[in-house]
Amino acid sequence: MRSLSIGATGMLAQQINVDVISNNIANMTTTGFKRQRAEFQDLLYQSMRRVGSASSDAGTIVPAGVQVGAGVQSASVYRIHQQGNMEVTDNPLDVAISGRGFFQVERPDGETAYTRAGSFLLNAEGEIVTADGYRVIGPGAVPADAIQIAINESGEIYVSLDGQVDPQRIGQFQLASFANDAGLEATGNNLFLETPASGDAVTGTPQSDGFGTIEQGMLETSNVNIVSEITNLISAQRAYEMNSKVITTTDEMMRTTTSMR
Amino acid sequence: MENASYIAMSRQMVLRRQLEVVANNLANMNTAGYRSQQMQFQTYLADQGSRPGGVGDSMTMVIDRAVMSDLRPGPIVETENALDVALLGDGYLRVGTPAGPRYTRNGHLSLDEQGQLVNAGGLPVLDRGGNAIAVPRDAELISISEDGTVSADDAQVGVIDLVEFNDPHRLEPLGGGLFVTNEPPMPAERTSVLQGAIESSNVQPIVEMTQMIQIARSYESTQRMLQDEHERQRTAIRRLGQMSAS
Repeated sequence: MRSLSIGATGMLAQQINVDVISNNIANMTTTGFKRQRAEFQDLLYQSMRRVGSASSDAGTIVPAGVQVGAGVQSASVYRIHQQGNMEVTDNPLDVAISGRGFFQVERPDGETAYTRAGSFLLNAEGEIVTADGYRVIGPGAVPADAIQIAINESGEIYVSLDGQVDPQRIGQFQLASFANDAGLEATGNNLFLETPASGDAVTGTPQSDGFGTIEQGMLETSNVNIVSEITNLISAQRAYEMNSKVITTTDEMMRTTTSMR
Repeated sequence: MENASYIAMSRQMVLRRQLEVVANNLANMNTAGYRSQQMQFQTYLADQGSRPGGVGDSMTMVIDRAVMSDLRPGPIVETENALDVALLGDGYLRVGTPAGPRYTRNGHLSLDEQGQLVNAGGLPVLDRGGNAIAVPRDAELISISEDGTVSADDAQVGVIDLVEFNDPHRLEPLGGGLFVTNEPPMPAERTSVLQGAIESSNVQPIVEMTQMIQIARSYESTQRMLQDEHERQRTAIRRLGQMSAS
Protein backbone atom coordinates (compact mmCIF):
# COMPACT_ATOMS: atom_id res chain seq x y z
CA MET A 1 0.00 0.00 0.00
CA ARG A 2 1.35 3.38 -1.06
CA SER A 3 0.08 5.17 2.04
CA LEU A 4 2.91 3.56 4.03
CA SER A 5 5.54 5.31 1.94
CA ILE A 6 3.46 8.50 1.67
CA GLY A 7 3.35 8.65 5.48
CA ALA A 8 7.09 8.06 5.54
CA THR A 9 7.78 11.00 3.17
CA GLY A 10 5.64 13.16 5.45
CA MET A 11 7.63 12.14 8.52
CA LEU A 12 10.90 12.72 6.67
CA ALA A 13 9.82 16.21 5.61
CA GLN A 14 8.79 17.12 9.15
CA GLN A 15 12.10 15.77 10.43
CA ILE A 16 13.89 18.27 8.14
CA ASN A 17 11.52 20.98 9.36
CA VAL A 18 12.43 20.22 12.99
CA ASP A 19 16.14 20.19 12.09
CA VAL A 20 15.88 23.65 10.53
CA ILE A 21 13.86 25.04 13.45
CA SER A 22 16.28 23.63 16.02
CA ASN A 23 19.21 25.18 14.16
CA ASN A 24 17.42 28.53 14.27
CA ILE A 25 16.80 28.19 18.00
CA ALA A 26 20.40 27.10 18.64
CA ASN A 27 21.61 30.22 16.82
CA MET A 28 19.21 32.68 18.40
CA THR A 29 22.10 34.63 19.97
CA THR A 30 24.59 34.19 17.10
CA THR A 31 25.70 37.56 15.76
CA GLY A 32 24.61 38.13 12.17
CA PHE A 33 22.72 34.82 11.92
CA LYS A 34 19.85 34.77 9.44
CA ARG A 35 16.99 32.42 10.19
CA GLN A 36 16.07 29.65 7.78
CA ARG A 37 12.77 28.26 6.64
CA ALA A 38 12.04 24.87 5.16
CA GLU A 39 9.80 24.87 2.12
CA PHE A 40 8.06 21.72 0.85
CA GLN A 41 6.48 20.62 -2.39
CA ASP A 42 4.22 17.76 -3.37
CA LEU A 43 5.70 14.76 -5.17
CA LEU A 44 4.51 13.30 -8.48
CA TYR A 45 0.93 12.23 -9.06
CA GLN A 46 -0.23 8.99 -10.55
CA SER A 47 -3.24 9.37 -12.81
CA MET A 48 -5.64 6.47 -12.47
CA ARG A 49 -8.29 8.24 -14.51
CA ARG A 50 -7.14 11.23 -16.47
CA VAL A 51 -8.79 14.62 -16.41
CA GLY A 52 -10.32 15.42 -19.79
CA SER A 53 -10.31 11.87 -21.12
CA ALA A 54 -13.39 10.79 -23.06
CA SER A 55 -16.03 9.07 -20.97
CA SER A 56 -18.45 8.20 -23.78
CA ASP A 57 -18.86 8.08 -27.55
CA ALA A 58 -20.90 11.26 -27.37
CA GLY A 59 -17.80 13.26 -26.55
CA THR A 60 -18.40 13.75 -22.87
CA ILE A 61 -15.20 14.12 -20.90
CA VAL A 62 -14.11 13.36 -17.37
CA PRO A 63 -14.32 16.65 -15.46
CA ALA A 64 -12.02 15.60 -12.63
CA GLY A 65 -9.82 12.53 -12.78
CA VAL A 66 -8.38 10.32 -10.10
CA GLN A 67 -4.87 11.35 -9.20
CA VAL A 68 -3.10 9.97 -6.24
CA GLY A 69 -0.04 11.83 -5.04
CA ALA A 70 3.11 10.15 -3.83
CA GLY A 71 3.76 12.36 -0.82
CA VAL A 72 5.98 15.31 -0.08
CA GLN A 73 9.59 16.35 -0.43
CA SER A 74 11.55 19.31 0.83
CA ALA A 75 11.88 21.89 -1.94
CA SER A 76 14.29 24.32 -0.37
CA VAL A 77 15.64 25.50 2.93
CA TYR A 78 16.09 29.17 2.37
CA ARG A 79 17.50 31.94 4.47
CA ILE A 80 15.51 35.04 5.26
CA HIS A 81 17.96 37.95 5.01
CA GLN A 82 15.89 40.28 7.06
CA GLN A 83 17.64 42.84 9.25
CA GLY A 84 18.35 41.63 12.79
CA ASN A 85 18.09 43.79 15.86
CA MET A 86 20.92 46.18 16.79
CA GLU A 87 22.63 45.54 20.07
CA VAL A 88 24.86 48.20 21.63
CA THR A 89 28.20 46.76 22.72
CA ASP A 90 30.34 49.96 22.90
CA ASN A 91 33.28 47.96 21.59
CA PRO A 92 34.97 50.19 18.95
CA LEU A 93 35.61 47.26 16.61
CA ASP A 94 32.06 45.95 16.72
CA VAL A 95 30.35 47.17 13.58
CA ALA A 96 26.89 46.46 12.28
CA ILE A 97 25.48 47.00 8.80
CA SER A 98 22.18 48.81 8.84
CA GLY A 99 20.65 47.99 5.49
CA ARG A 100 21.98 45.95 2.62
CA GLY A 101 25.45 44.48 2.15
CA PHE A 102 28.01 42.05 3.51
CA PHE A 103 31.52 42.53 4.83
CA GLN A 104 34.13 40.82 2.67
CA VAL A 105 36.48 38.42 4.40
CA GLU A 106 39.53 36.69 2.98
CA ARG A 107 39.55 33.00 3.83
CA PRO A 108 42.87 31.18 4.38
CA ASP A 109 42.46 29.49 0.95
CA GLY A 110 42.34 32.92 -0.68
CA GLU A 111 38.65 32.81 -1.51
CA THR A 112 36.41 35.71 -0.55
CA ALA A 113 33.65 35.00 1.93
CA TYR A 114 30.87 37.33 3.03
CA THR A 115 29.51 37.97 6.50
CA ARG A 116 27.11 40.22 8.39
CA ALA A 117 28.73 39.44 11.75
CA GLY A 118 30.81 42.53 12.49
CA SER A 119 32.43 41.49 15.75
CA PHE A 120 35.96 42.23 14.57
CA LEU A 121 39.33 42.17 16.37
CA LEU A 122 42.87 43.25 15.59
CA ASN A 123 45.63 40.78 14.81
CA ALA A 124 49.34 41.16 15.58
CA GLU A 125 49.87 43.29 12.44
CA GLY A 126 47.06 45.64 13.38
CA GLU A 127 44.79 44.31 10.64
CA ILE A 128 41.08 44.03 11.26
CA VAL A 129 40.13 40.34 11.41
CA THR A 130 37.10 38.19 12.22
CA ALA A 131 36.83 36.08 15.36
CA ASP A 132 38.58 33.29 13.41
CA GLY A 133 41.47 35.57 12.42
CA TYR A 134 40.42 35.94 8.76
CA ARG A 135 41.37 39.33 7.32
CA VAL A 136 38.58 41.77 6.48
CA ILE A 137 39.04 43.18 2.96
CA GLY A 138 39.11 46.95 2.68
CA PRO A 139 40.37 48.70 5.79
CA GLY A 140 44.08 49.16 6.27
CA ALA A 141 46.15 48.29 9.32
CA VAL A 142 45.63 50.11 12.59
CA PRO A 143 48.95 51.52 13.94
CA ALA A 144 50.06 50.00 17.22
CA ASP A 145 50.15 53.37 18.97
CA ALA A 146 46.53 54.26 18.12
CA ILE A 147 44.59 55.26 21.19
CA GLN A 148 41.15 55.53 19.63
CA ILE A 149 39.40 54.08 16.59
CA ALA A 150 36.42 55.86 15.10
CA ILE A 151 34.34 54.44 12.25
CA ASN A 152 31.76 56.65 10.56
CA GLU A 153 28.55 55.69 8.77
CA SER A 154 30.38 55.40 5.43
CA GLY A 155 32.69 52.83 6.98
CA GLU A 156 35.73 55.14 6.99
CA ILE A 157 38.15 54.29 9.78
CA TYR A 158 39.95 57.09 11.61
CA VAL A 159 42.56 56.52 14.30
CA SER A 160 43.74 59.02 16.89
CA LEU A 161 47.44 58.71 17.54
CA ASP A 162 49.15 59.70 20.75
CA GLY A 163 50.26 63.32 20.57
CA GLN A 164 48.34 64.17 17.38
CA VAL A 165 45.26 66.32 17.36
CA ASP A 166 43.72 65.38 14.01
CA PRO A 167 42.52 61.80 13.56
CA GLN A 168 44.14 59.97 10.67
CA ARG A 169 42.13 58.09 8.01
CA ILE A 170 43.50 54.60 7.49
CA GLY A 171 40.91 53.07 5.19
CA GLN A 172 37.30 52.25 4.49
CA PHE A 173 35.18 49.12 4.74
CA GLN A 174 34.04 47.67 1.41
CA LEU A 175 30.66 46.02 1.25
CA ALA A 176 29.35 43.48 -1.24
CA SER A 177 25.76 42.90 -2.24
CA PHE A 178 23.95 40.28 -4.29
CA ALA A 179 20.83 40.25 -6.43
CA ASN A 180 19.58 37.21 -4.51
CA ASP A 181 20.87 37.05 -0.94
CA ALA A 182 18.88 33.86 -0.38
CA GLY A 183 21.09 32.12 -2.97
CA LEU A 184 24.27 32.48 -0.90
CA GLU A 185 25.85 29.32 0.45
CA ALA A 186 26.45 29.22 4.20
CA THR A 187 29.74 27.64 5.21
CA GLY A 188 29.39 28.03 8.96
CA ASN A 189 31.34 30.45 11.16
CA ASN A 190 28.88 33.16 10.04
CA LEU A 191 30.40 33.13 6.55
CA PHE A 192 28.65 32.91 3.19
CA LEU A 193 30.01 32.09 -0.25
CA GLU A 194 28.93 33.35 -3.65
CA THR A 195 27.02 30.85 -5.86
CA PRO A 196 25.51 30.99 -9.36
CA ALA A 197 22.12 31.46 -7.69
CA SER A 198 23.21 34.50 -5.68
CA GLY A 199 24.62 36.38 -8.67
CA ASP A 200 27.98 38.11 -8.71
CA ALA A 201 29.08 40.22 -5.80
CA VAL A 202 28.66 43.93 -6.44
CA THR A 203 31.08 45.85 -4.25
CA GLY A 204 30.74 49.38 -3.05
CA THR A 205 31.30 51.64 -0.11
CA PRO A 206 28.80 51.84 2.72
CA GLN A 207 26.13 54.51 2.46
CA SER A 208 26.47 54.60 -1.33
CA ASP A 209 23.57 53.57 -3.60
CA GLY A 210 22.38 50.06 -2.79
CA PHE A 211 24.38 49.64 0.39
CA GLY A 212 23.59 50.10 4.05
CA THR A 213 25.38 52.23 6.60
CA ILE A 214 27.94 51.18 9.21
CA GLU A 215 27.13 51.55 12.86
CA GLN A 216 30.11 51.48 15.20
CA GLY A 217 29.82 49.96 18.68
CA MET A 218 26.86 47.84 17.67
CA LEU A 219 26.28 44.28 16.60
CA GLU A 220 23.49 42.88 14.48
CA THR A 221 21.88 40.08 16.46
CA SER A 222 20.26 37.09 14.80
CA ASN A 223 16.86 37.69 13.23
CA VAL A 224 15.41 34.57 14.88
CA ASN A 225 12.00 35.24 16.38
CA ILE A 226 11.90 32.73 19.20
CA VAL A 227 8.12 32.82 19.66
CA SER A 228 7.44 31.91 16.05
CA GLU A 229 10.16 29.24 16.15
CA ILE A 230 8.58 27.56 19.16
CA THR A 231 5.11 27.62 17.61
CA ASN A 232 6.60 26.22 14.37
CA LEU A 233 8.29 23.51 16.42
CA ILE A 234 5.00 22.52 18.03
CA SER A 235 3.19 22.36 14.70
CA ALA A 236 6.06 20.38 13.12
CA GLN A 237 5.93 17.87 15.96
CA ARG A 238 2.18 17.45 15.58
CA ALA A 239 2.55 17.05 11.82
CA TYR A 240 5.16 14.36 12.42
CA GLU A 241 2.79 12.61 14.81
CA MET A 242 -0.11 12.71 12.35
CA ASN A 243 2.03 11.26 9.59
CA SER A 244 3.09 8.46 11.92
CA LYS A 245 -0.63 7.79 12.48
CA VAL A 246 -1.00 7.29 8.72
CA ILE A 247 1.56 4.52 8.95
CA THR A 248 -0.18 2.98 11.99
CA THR A 249 -3.54 3.07 10.23
CA THR A 250 -2.11 1.50 7.08
CA ASP A 251 -0.51 -1.19 9.19
CA GLU A 252 -3.82 -1.83 10.92
CA MET A 253 -5.62 -2.19 7.60
CA MET A 254 -2.99 -4.58 6.30
CA ARG A 255 -3.33 -6.63 9.46
CA THR A 256 -7.11 -6.75 8.95
CA THR A 257 -6.47 -8.14 5.48
CA THR A 258 -3.97 -10.74 6.57
CA SER A 259 -6.27 -11.95 9.38
CA MET A 260 -8.68 -13.14 6.69
CA ARG A 261 -9.11 -16.90 6.67
CA MET B 1 -23.38 -16.22 -5.19
CA GLU B 2 -20.03 -14.45 -5.02
CA ASN B 3 -21.55 -11.01 -5.49
CA ALA B 4 -21.54 -10.07 -1.83
CA SER B 5 -17.81 -10.75 -1.69
CA TYR B 6 -17.14 -8.79 -4.86
CA ILE B 7 -19.09 -5.78 -3.60
CA ALA B 8 -17.16 -5.86 -0.34
CA MET B 9 -13.93 -6.14 -2.29
CA SER B 10 -14.79 -3.09 -4.43
CA ARG B 11 -15.37 -1.18 -1.21
CA GLN B 12 -12.04 -2.25 0.23
CA MET B 13 -10.18 -1.32 -2.93
CA VAL B 14 -11.50 2.24 -2.94
CA LEU B 15 -10.89 2.58 0.79
CA ARG B 16 -7.25 1.75 0.27
CA ARG B 17 -6.98 4.35 -2.46
CA GLN B 18 -8.85 6.85 -0.33
CA LEU B 19 -6.33 6.28 2.44
CA GLU B 20 -3.57 7.11 -0.04
CA VAL B 21 -5.25 10.42 -0.83
CA VAL B 22 -5.65 11.20 2.88
CA ALA B 23 -2.02 10.20 3.49
CA ASN B 24 -0.91 12.55 0.71
CA ASN B 25 -2.93 15.38 2.27
CA LEU B 26 -1.37 14.80 5.67
CA ALA B 27 2.12 14.55 4.16
CA ASN B 28 1.53 17.93 2.51
CA MET B 29 0.02 19.72 5.50
CA ASN B 30 2.96 22.16 5.49
CA THR B 31 3.39 22.49 1.72
CA ALA B 32 2.85 26.06 0.57
CA GLY B 33 0.06 26.43 -1.98
CA TYR B 34 -1.06 22.80 -1.65
CA ARG B 35 -4.76 22.13 -2.19
CA SER B 36 -6.25 19.34 -0.13
CA GLN B 37 -7.83 16.55 -2.17
CA GLN B 38 -11.04 14.64 -1.64
CA MET B 39 -12.07 11.41 -3.28
CA GLN B 40 -15.52 11.12 -4.86
CA PHE B 41 -17.25 7.78 -5.17
CA GLN B 42 -19.76 6.55 -7.66
CA THR B 43 -21.97 3.50 -8.02
CA TYR B 44 -20.73 1.07 -10.58
CA LEU B 45 -22.65 -1.59 -12.56
CA ALA B 46 -25.87 -0.70 -10.83
CA ASP B 47 -28.95 -2.93 -11.03
CA GLN B 48 -27.40 -5.73 -13.00
CA GLY B 49 -29.85 -8.50 -13.57
CA SER B 50 -32.95 -6.61 -12.60
CA ARG B 51 -35.86 -7.27 -14.92
CA PRO B 52 -37.66 -4.25 -16.31
CA GLY B 53 -40.79 -3.61 -14.30
CA GLY B 54 -39.96 -6.36 -11.85
CA VAL B 55 -38.11 -6.49 -8.58
CA GLY B 56 -34.75 -7.96 -9.43
CA ASP B 57 -31.44 -8.40 -7.71
CA SER B 58 -30.17 -4.93 -7.29
CA MET B 59 -26.40 -4.90 -7.10
CA THR B 60 -24.23 -1.87 -6.77
CA MET B 61 -20.47 -1.81 -6.52
CA VAL B 62 -18.46 1.27 -5.75
CA ILE B 63 -15.68 2.93 -7.69
CA ASP B 64 -13.57 6.04 -7.11
CA ARG B 65 -14.53 8.35 -9.93
CA ALA B 66 -12.74 11.57 -9.15
CA VAL B 67 -10.32 13.29 -6.86
CA MET B 68 -11.46 16.86 -6.34
CA SER B 69 -9.26 19.63 -5.05
CA ASP B 70 -10.55 21.65 -2.15
CA LEU B 71 -10.33 25.18 -3.55
CA ARG B 72 -10.72 27.03 -0.29
CA PRO B 73 -7.81 29.37 0.40
CA GLY B 74 -5.19 28.19 2.87
CA PRO B 75 -4.09 30.28 5.84
CA ILE B 76 -1.75 33.18 5.04
CA VAL B 77 1.55 32.96 6.91
CA GLU B 78 3.82 35.98 7.14
CA THR B 79 7.42 35.21 6.24
CA GLU B 80 8.79 38.75 5.89
CA ASN B 81 10.72 37.62 2.82
CA ALA B 82 10.37 40.22 0.09
CA LEU B 83 10.09 37.56 -2.61
CA ASP B 84 7.31 35.55 -0.98
CA VAL B 85 3.87 36.28 -2.34
CA ALA B 86 0.48 34.96 -1.27
CA LEU B 87 -2.42 35.07 -3.70
CA LEU B 88 -5.69 36.35 -2.28
CA GLY B 89 -8.48 35.00 -4.45
CA ASP B 90 -8.80 32.05 -6.82
CA GLY B 91 -5.97 32.99 -9.20
CA TYR B 92 -2.74 31.25 -10.08
CA LEU B 93 0.78 32.33 -11.04
CA ARG B 94 1.92 31.32 -14.50
CA VAL B 95 5.37 29.74 -14.77
CA GLY B 96 7.16 28.74 -17.96
CA THR B 97 8.47 25.23 -18.58
CA PRO B 98 9.90 23.74 -21.78
CA ALA B 99 6.60 21.84 -22.09
CA GLY B 100 4.42 24.95 -21.88
CA PRO B 101 2.91 27.08 -19.13
CA ARG B 102 2.14 25.60 -15.76
CA TYR B 103 0.17 27.16 -12.93
CA THR B 104 0.97 27.36 -9.24
CA ARG B 105 -0.29 28.89 -6.01
CA ASN B 106 3.05 28.43 -4.25
CA GLY B 107 4.37 31.98 -4.00
CA HIS B 108 7.81 31.23 -2.62
CA LEU B 109 9.81 33.00 -5.32
CA SER B 110 13.50 33.78 -5.64
CA LEU B 111 15.95 35.18 -8.15
CA ASP B 112 18.12 32.99 -10.34
CA GLU B 113 21.66 33.80 -11.52
CA GLN B 114 20.32 36.09 -14.26
CA GLY B 115 18.22 38.00 -11.76
CA GLN B 116 15.01 36.47 -13.11
CA LEU B 117 12.07 35.88 -10.83
CA VAL B 118 11.70 32.10 -10.46
CA ASN B 119 9.55 29.78 -8.38
CA ALA B 120 10.86 27.21 -5.88
CA GLY B 121 11.59 24.79 -8.72
CA GLY B 122 13.64 27.37 -10.64
CA LEU B 123 10.99 27.94 -13.33
CA PRO B 124 10.59 31.54 -14.51
CA VAL B 125 7.47 33.39 -13.36
CA LEU B 126 5.90 34.89 -16.48
CA ASP B 127 4.47 38.33 -17.11
CA ARG B 128 1.39 39.01 -19.24
CA GLY B 129 3.37 38.72 -22.44
CA GLY B 130 4.74 35.33 -21.46
CA ASN B 131 8.25 36.62 -20.74
CA ALA B 132 10.35 36.18 -17.63
CA ILE B 133 10.67 39.10 -15.24
CA ALA B 134 14.25 40.21 -14.61
CA VAL B 135 15.22 42.28 -11.60
CA PRO B 136 18.39 44.41 -11.88
CA ARG B 137 21.31 42.99 -9.92
CA ASP B 138 21.89 46.14 -7.92
CA ALA B 139 18.26 46.49 -6.85
CA GLU B 140 18.08 47.35 -3.20
CA LEU B 141 14.39 47.07 -2.57
CA ILE B 142 12.07 44.79 -4.49
CA SER B 143 8.40 45.49 -4.01
CA ILE B 144 5.45 43.63 -5.44
CA SER B 145 2.16 45.47 -5.45
CA GLU B 146 -1.37 44.13 -5.11
CA ASP B 147 -1.87 43.76 -8.86
CA GLY B 148 1.42 41.90 -9.28
CA THR B 149 3.57 44.82 -10.43
CA VAL B 150 7.20 44.15 -9.55
CA SER B 151 9.28 47.24 -8.87
CA ALA B 152 12.96 47.50 -8.08
CA ASP B 153 13.80 50.75 -6.28
CA ASP B 154 10.61 52.44 -7.53
CA ALA B 155 11.26 51.50 -11.16
CA GLN B 156 8.73 49.05 -12.61
CA VAL B 157 10.40 45.92 -14.01
CA GLY B 158 7.38 43.79 -14.89
CA VAL B 159 3.92 42.64 -13.99
CA ILE B 160 3.37 39.08 -12.75
CA ASP B 161 0.64 37.40 -14.78
CA LEU B 162 -2.22 36.34 -12.56
CA VAL B 163 -4.71 34.00 -14.17
CA GLU B 164 -8.05 32.49 -13.23
CA PHE B 165 -9.98 29.57 -14.70
CA ASN B 166 -13.62 28.97 -15.47
CA ASP B 167 -13.39 25.47 -14.08
CA PRO B 168 -10.48 25.22 -11.67
CA HIS B 169 -11.40 21.60 -10.91
CA ARG B 170 -9.93 20.62 -14.25
CA LEU B 171 -6.46 21.64 -13.16
CA GLU B 172 -4.37 18.52 -12.94
CA PRO B 173 -1.69 18.40 -10.21
CA LEU B 174 1.79 17.55 -11.44
CA GLY B 175 3.76 17.65 -8.20
CA GLY B 176 6.14 20.39 -7.21
CA GLY B 177 3.14 22.63 -6.56
CA LEU B 178 2.42 22.84 -10.31
CA PHE B 179 -0.85 22.32 -12.13
CA VAL B 180 -1.56 21.85 -15.83
CA THR B 181 -4.73 22.27 -17.83
CA ASN B 182 -5.77 22.76 -21.43
CA GLU B 183 -8.42 25.24 -20.40
CA PRO B 184 -7.53 28.73 -21.56
CA PRO B 185 -6.48 30.98 -18.69
CA MET B 186 -8.28 34.27 -18.19
CA PRO B 187 -6.76 37.41 -16.73
CA ALA B 188 -7.46 37.44 -13.01
CA GLU B 189 -10.07 39.87 -11.82
CA ARG B 190 -10.63 38.77 -8.27
CA THR B 191 -7.07 37.94 -7.28
CA SER B 192 -4.59 40.19 -5.55
CA VAL B 193 -1.02 39.67 -4.39
CA LEU B 194 0.23 40.04 -0.83
CA GLN B 195 3.98 40.48 -0.53
CA GLY B 196 5.97 39.02 2.38
CA ALA B 197 3.56 36.18 3.03
CA ILE B 198 2.87 32.68 1.78
CA GLU B 199 -0.36 30.77 1.44
CA SER B 200 0.20 27.59 3.35
CA SER B 201 -1.54 24.31 2.67
CA ASN B 202 -5.32 24.28 3.12
CA VAL B 203 -5.27 20.76 4.58
CA GLN B 204 -7.32 20.58 7.75
CA PRO B 205 -5.41 17.97 9.78
CA ILE B 206 -8.30 17.23 12.14
CA VAL B 207 -10.65 16.47 9.26
CA GLU B 208 -8.04 14.23 7.65
CA MET B 209 -7.41 12.41 10.93
CA THR B 210 -11.11 11.70 11.48
CA GLN B 211 -11.41 10.62 7.86
CA MET B 212 -8.49 8.28 8.35
CA ILE B 213 -10.13 6.68 11.41
CA GLN B 214 -13.32 6.32 9.43
CA ILE B 215 -11.47 4.63 6.57
CA ALA B 216 -9.76 2.18 8.91
CA ARG B 217 -13.02 1.28 10.65
CA SER B 218 -14.98 0.97 7.39
CA TYR B 219 -12.27 -1.31 6.10
CA GLU B 220 -12.55 -3.43 9.22
CA SER B 221 -16.32 -3.70 9.07
CA THR B 222 -16.19 -4.60 5.38
CA GLN B 223 -13.67 -7.24 6.31
CA ARG B 224 -16.12 -8.56 8.91
CA MET B 225 -18.78 -8.71 6.24
CA LEU B 226 -16.46 -10.63 3.95
CA GLN B 227 -15.69 -13.06 6.74
CA ASP B 228 -19.35 -13.59 7.57
CA GLU B 229 -20.06 -14.19 3.91
CA HIS B 230 -17.21 -16.65 3.78
CA GLU B 231 -18.58 -18.38 6.86
CA ARG B 232 -22.06 -18.52 5.36
CA GLN B 233 -20.75 -20.11 2.18
CA ARG B 234 -18.76 -22.66 4.13
CA THR B 235 -21.76 -23.58 6.24
CA ALA B 236 -23.90 -23.88 3.13
CA ILE B 237 -21.39 -26.16 1.42
CA ARG B 238 -21.04 -28.32 4.53
CA ARG B 239 -24.80 -28.66 5.03
CA LEU B 240 -25.50 -29.34 1.36
CA GLY B 241 -22.64 -31.83 1.27
CA GLN B 242 -24.09 -33.70 4.25
CA MET B 243 -27.49 -33.84 2.63
CA SER B 244 -26.23 -35.42 -0.57
CA ALA B 245 -24.10 -37.89 1.40
CA SER B 246 -27.02 -39.15 3.46
